[in-house]
Amino acid sequence: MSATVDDIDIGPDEPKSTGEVEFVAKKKHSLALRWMHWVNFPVLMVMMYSGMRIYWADRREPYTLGIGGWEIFTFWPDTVNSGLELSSNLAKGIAFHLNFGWFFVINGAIYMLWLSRKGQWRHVVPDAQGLKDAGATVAHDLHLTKKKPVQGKYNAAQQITYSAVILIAILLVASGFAIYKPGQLSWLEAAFGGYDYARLIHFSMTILLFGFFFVHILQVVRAGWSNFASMVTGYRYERRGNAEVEPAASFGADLVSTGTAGSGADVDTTTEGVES
Amino acid sequence: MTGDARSPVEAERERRLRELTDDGDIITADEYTRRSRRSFLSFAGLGVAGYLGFNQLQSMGTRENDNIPAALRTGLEWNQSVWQTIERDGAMARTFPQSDREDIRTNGWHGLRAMSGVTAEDDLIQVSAEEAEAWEISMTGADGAALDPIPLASIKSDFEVHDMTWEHKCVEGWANIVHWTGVRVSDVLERYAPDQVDAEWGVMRTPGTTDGGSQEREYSAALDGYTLRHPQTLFAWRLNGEDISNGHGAPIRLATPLKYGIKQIKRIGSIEFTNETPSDYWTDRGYDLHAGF
Repeated sequence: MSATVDDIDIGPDEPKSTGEVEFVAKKKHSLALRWMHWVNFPVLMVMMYSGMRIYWADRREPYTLGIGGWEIFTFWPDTVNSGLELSSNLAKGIAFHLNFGWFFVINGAIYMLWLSRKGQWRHVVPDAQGLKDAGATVAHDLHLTKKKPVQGKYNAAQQITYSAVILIAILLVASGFAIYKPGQLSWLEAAFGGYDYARLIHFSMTILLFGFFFVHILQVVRAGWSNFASMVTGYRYERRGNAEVEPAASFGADLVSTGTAGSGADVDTTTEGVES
Repeated sequence: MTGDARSPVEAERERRLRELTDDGDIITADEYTRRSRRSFLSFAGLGVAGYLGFNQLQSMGTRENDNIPAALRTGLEWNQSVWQTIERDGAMARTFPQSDREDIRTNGWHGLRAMSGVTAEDDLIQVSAEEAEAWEISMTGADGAALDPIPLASIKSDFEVHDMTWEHKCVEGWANIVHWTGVRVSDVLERYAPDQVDAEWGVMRTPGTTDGGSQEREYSAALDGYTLRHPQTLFAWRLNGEDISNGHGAPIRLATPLKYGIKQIKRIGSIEFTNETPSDYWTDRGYDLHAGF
């Protein structure tokens, strides 16, 4: 196997060998990034829930997905609203939305500043080759091909997705302000093509973000414990010296509690097979 | 996938990617265990604290008769102070050609009906032609003293009449472009309440409740002085070219593009000026006092 991006040149003394395999933990996500990442979760939950209360206040003209006169889906079916116990409480919806929105805005602004620091944005924004590699990455993830393109911190598909999510968030916030202050920010309302379009875009971006959320969860589950834990601890661990890759489920909890146990080998496969 | 012959360009890219990602510390297994335990405990602790805090927020400090937690009310007031700071004095709301006007639903009959069960526009309290002719808007000054009322006949005949078309926005989310005919509130107040032009607030109310009338509930809308004095704030009696119907607030109502529909009170019976921060019908029910754009 050739040197790959995630290979780490480990000195003879460290880290401690854990028997047949070496345990290696390497910093992946800074504390700042982890905070910014997790703040989104409760804030967006509150924003989506209160946003649905606001949306639900006018039931006469719901948004629908469809082609021509053929309706495929109406936002939302009654089961969704009753399932969420969405009482008709517009006042509360607005109060929560217009207070908690600031947390999302401030968090996002800090994230933008952080990204613009030297190098940080390079992890997220794909380069020309990354754009070409996206298809191959997805094919690999779907087990259609074995070859996995060379990547940095994130693979090409991740880079494109995360970049898109940032754009979605910007549109979400901008359209939100256009709806919120169409007087003082009339230029912003006009930029979205008017009030109704601003609302439609605000709603659509929410749906896209919601869609991302599900794919994100799915991918995190798929990627295994070490990957998930790295967003909490900051460190990504792996085992070396054992070519056998075992299912993620066979270690994880064990390993976290003891730091040494486990026969599994969570070899980071991100660059495996480059030359295989 | 065999004999990968990488070009120098690819090799260079790989080297660059490695450089970009290889800056992470490497720690021992023991160290990882310590840090990981600490991180997960903090993570769980913060999660629980956030959950408890959110529940606390929802349950505590709700002002009497308010529908939202006091902290969120404070937040809405803070929002207002932010937007007030960047207020563009005298800025005009966007207007449209009259030909863009759309039909608009009647929405919200509070203060227009004898009881809450009324669900048909025809069952609202009707204002007859005679009543409209004799209609007056009573006024109370900021000092509590009654002022001479404004006769509707005077509103309609003594001031410059304006036709304005803008997008009427409801707090529920819908919006329609509508065409109003009326006179500037500022023109009328200048003549009928010259001493009150500097009042910070004017609270407008539907008639017939203070004297033990039979109407369901009094509707009220608190409007700040800036909005009252704004050239696009009208006493309106025609909507889309026709006399305003009962459901839209006959015989006289407020129209302004600076505020949501909840502030554009229908069937104005009285105005009370005040310099104290007031409340109104929807503010009492958890909405933003300012509700402005």
